[in-house]
Amino acid sequence: MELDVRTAPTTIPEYSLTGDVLSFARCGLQYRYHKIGNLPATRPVQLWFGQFLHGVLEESYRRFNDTGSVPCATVDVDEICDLVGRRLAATGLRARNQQLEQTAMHRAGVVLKDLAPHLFPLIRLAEVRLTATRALSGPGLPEHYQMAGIVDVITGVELRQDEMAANPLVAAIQQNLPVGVHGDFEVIVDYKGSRRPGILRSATGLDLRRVYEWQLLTYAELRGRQADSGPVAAGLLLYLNELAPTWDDLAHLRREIATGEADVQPEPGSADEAEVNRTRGAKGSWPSLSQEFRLQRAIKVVPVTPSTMNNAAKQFDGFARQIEESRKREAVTGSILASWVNYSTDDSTCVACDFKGTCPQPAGP
Amino acid sequence: MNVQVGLGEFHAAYAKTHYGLDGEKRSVIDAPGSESLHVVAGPGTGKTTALVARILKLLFVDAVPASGIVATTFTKKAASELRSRLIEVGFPLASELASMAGTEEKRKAILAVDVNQVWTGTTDSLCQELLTRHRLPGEEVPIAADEYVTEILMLTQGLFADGRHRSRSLADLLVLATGQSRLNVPNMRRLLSSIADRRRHDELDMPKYLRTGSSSEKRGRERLGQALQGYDSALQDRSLVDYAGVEHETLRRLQAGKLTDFTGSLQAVLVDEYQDTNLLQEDLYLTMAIESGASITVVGDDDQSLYRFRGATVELFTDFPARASQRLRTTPTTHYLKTNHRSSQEIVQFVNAFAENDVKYQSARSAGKPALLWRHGSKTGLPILGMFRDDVPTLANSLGDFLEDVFIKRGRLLPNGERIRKGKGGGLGDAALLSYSPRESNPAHLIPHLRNDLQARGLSLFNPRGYQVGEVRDVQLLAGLSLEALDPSGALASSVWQSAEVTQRFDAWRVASRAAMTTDPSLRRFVQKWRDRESRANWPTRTPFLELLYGLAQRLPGCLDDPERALYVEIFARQVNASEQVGSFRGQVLLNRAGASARGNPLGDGSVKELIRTVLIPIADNDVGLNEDLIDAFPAGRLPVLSIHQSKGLEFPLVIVDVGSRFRTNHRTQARLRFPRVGDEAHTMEDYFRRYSPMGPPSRSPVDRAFDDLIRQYFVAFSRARNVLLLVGLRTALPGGSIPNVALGWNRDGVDRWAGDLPFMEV
Repeated sequence: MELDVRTAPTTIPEYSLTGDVLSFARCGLQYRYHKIGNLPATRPVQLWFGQFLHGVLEESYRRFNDTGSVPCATVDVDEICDLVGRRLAATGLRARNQQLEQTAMHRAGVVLKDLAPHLFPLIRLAEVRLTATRALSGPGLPEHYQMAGIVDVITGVELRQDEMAANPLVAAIQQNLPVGVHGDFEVIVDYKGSRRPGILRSATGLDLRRVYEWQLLTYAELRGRQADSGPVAAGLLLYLNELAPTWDDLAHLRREIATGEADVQPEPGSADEAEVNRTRGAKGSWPSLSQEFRLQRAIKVVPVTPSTMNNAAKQFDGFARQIEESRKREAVTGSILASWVNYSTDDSTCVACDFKGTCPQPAGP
Repeated sequence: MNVQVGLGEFHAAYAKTHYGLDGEKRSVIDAPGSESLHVVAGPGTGKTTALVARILKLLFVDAVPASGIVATTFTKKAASELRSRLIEVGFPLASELASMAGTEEKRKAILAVDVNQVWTGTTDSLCQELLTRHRLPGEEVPIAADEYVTEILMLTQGLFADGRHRSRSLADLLVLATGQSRLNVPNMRRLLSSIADRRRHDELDMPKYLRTGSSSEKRGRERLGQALQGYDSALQDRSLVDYAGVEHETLRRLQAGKLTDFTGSLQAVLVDEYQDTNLLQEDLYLTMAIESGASITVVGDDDQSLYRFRGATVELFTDFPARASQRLRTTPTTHYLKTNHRSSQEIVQFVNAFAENDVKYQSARSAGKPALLWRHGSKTGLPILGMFRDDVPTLANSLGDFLEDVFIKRGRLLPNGERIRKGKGGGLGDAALLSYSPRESNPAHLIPHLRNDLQARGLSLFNPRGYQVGEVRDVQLLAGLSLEALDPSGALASSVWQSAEVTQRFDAWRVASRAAMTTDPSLRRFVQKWRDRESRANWPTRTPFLELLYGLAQRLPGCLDDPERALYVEIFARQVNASEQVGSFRGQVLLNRAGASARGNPLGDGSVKELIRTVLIPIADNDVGLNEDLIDAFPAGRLPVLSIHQSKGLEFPLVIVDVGSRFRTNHRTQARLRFPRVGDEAHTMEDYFRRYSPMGPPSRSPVDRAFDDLIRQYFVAFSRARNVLLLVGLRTALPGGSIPNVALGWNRDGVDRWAGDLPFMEV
């Protein structure tokens, strides 16, 4: 008699847009070690920072929802920061040093003071979980995968209402709405605990501006399928570090201005330009930039149309396919290094990488 | 938009997109959505199919919104399979139903049903999600700590604090409560963790327990209470809870009406693998059903209950209708899935006979449970096979011959003239060896012999759980080199409390590491840099230990390239993570110039001692293991070796069960593996603690429960086989001999039922 051939139960892989797809897009090998292999980064500075600011905004919104006022008094901010810090510590994430913690707390305070009063009244839903099953084509790959993500905030306002015109977020959205859009729409908001990425000038490297746009557009696509969703007209990326940039951030901006990589620059001759060109202030001081300029740098509106949504989701399908192909290659070759080959070409990713000593193609110095 | 299709339409579409569902399954699927069900599903009877079809029927026929359905199961892997099946079956079904819809409105309504929104996962993940999602502003949500974190907290704050590991009264109490006599530190920690879980799982009245007890026990109970208090406080200080605590907290909030957002929309709760549930989980699910008015469907098989040692109580499944009716307004109806679609007729008959072999076992099974049926029209297979030899090397060699014949050569000719050969495109991964334990530490045992034998034939085993981590070369080097880098003289390690075994292991690791450094200058230079850190001007005051670990791993050739070897690096990283969460130095190596503690001890030395205590000693104690979630699918070309517990939920065309390769004599030390003389640790704990549980003491004696559990283990092992079941052992273990063995037909009354009439063909 002939034995049956064993078929393992099929499982549909699930990939989150941030934890999996964006990480893989940065560097496949780093993703393999950190995410699949469960080897944490030695200095997860960015991870802690991003989660801290997200946590502060989420907790503050819950309180705003409860009381109707933004908790931006120093005593409230300190208490919220302390609570969020403890929550993160319970998951194993801690600020690596006191300076980082102080920077984060300062930023949190500025975000609550300068951004939250404009944003919180617009919020319809917070922390919205989105999932969808999507096709994966490729020999030997699963037929489908599940795409998952959590939208920070969905706003729902009558975008062309005049009384909202003074709101800088609404104004920015209105200026960038796709042609022909009117009435009540949803806008998907994603917080980024980072600075605004510059325009990518090199042919290689990861264009973070594009990837973040794709992420928002994909959220819009997934959101559009939910039963309680209204039409999604735009996405809003909020680069929170821009609301309270450090002197190092300004140095970075100066370099980008010099190379033409900065898409939002201070007006020539303005006080903001002078401040950007100041090399460094007193120890412990923060650059003094106008709220208008900081908001301009922080806000990026992404118009949403069916074709841009469709294109973005396809880009992410491509990354998911590459992850599955890498997994399959590893199962066949038994080699991690030979299987996760979309190595980073970005110096900053590689400089901070814990595994550059083992990487066949480390970028940077 | 609500959708409602007729039951007839549903089944027509289901049959068209998949296959027709048989009558047994239809009785489960077609039951009204509001009805609560108790589904007793034998092995291979398609319980996942029934569960998935029931969920889809709730969605499309009963118009239950997807967000109103919660389906949980026992493991992350099983949950992932359930979700995958739901999607794979659900989407084509929805398309077919939409194509059959008479109106555009109905078509749109059907397509708007999003199967993705059904909540699937484990009980723990559901509870964590509920606590996080439905928290109030400012509310501190406890985070579920990983097991390795809770283990370290129990060790450091429960056991070591106030020198409780030296307490005679605590040790005496642990002996009394658990029946264990070998009380080294890892064992005491393990027992304390087990008690900490049990107080939640069995909903023990701990205040009553702690204030009562005989005078001889009283001091021990006090000590136990202090250990648990120390552990609980340590968790609380870190905003953590253990898994049992997450469930307990969720139940508390449900009972207090704090999760009404969730219960307000809940309409159906489905729980798989319910035979391994515990009282806390029963309470949780019934409370959900009561608070929401949702129906509850539990699915399981008492014959496959294997997790008593983790607090499972099989009677909660067998008695579910009666227990649930006391709290719900209705009595759940019982349905049986009895047609086995997996195995050949011979295997089904063998499994049935095995389950019925022991008369006293019958009263532990679900009342009225029918025997398994084989699928109508299933091909008649081969008889059960038995391979018994005089000694282990010969047995391994014969098994190697058999596997080589079947999978490499032209097949194996059996005494009855039949030939077994692999299927087209098949390989050694179509077979599996199930054993009491997959460990290979003792070279005299079957698995190491078989590994060598197969290797000589160019074949191999897949047994990632074969060794305790401390025995693995990469682990020895990573740990030994870390010790050499951080504490070259050994002065710091020797000042940390450790058992003699740990000291010996540390010494052996250092010897291996020094040898490795002599042959690899780059490794030596790297370690030397760390040794010289105090004198290097530019060395940072704090450096993550992970940096040392990754630096070493990158210098061991292939360590971060081979997926299996990378698993061992993860063990260290996991322990470092635990150290970060529980220690004072957060997984960092400090320099002594960073300062001194309040007692004047240099902080650098303190940080190294903490890493030795929280990272290296647990590894040396083998108190940590591989991360099961990271062990991927079995490679097709290698023979997987599994414990019977690990084989649960799996199936293989050829299953080899080791029923007696260790049984040369009727020795009492092996009795628990084949014919228990007393209850084991789990049974002793049940008897001791359940006096303080609403469940009350167990009705069956400890030794009867030990027999029941052993029968269930082999029932699971035998029912994994699709085509061929091969029993292997030493000839001395054969029926008709003097070694009683449940797996080979003995019942608990000492009757050797297979003697003279073997139910297998010897090969």
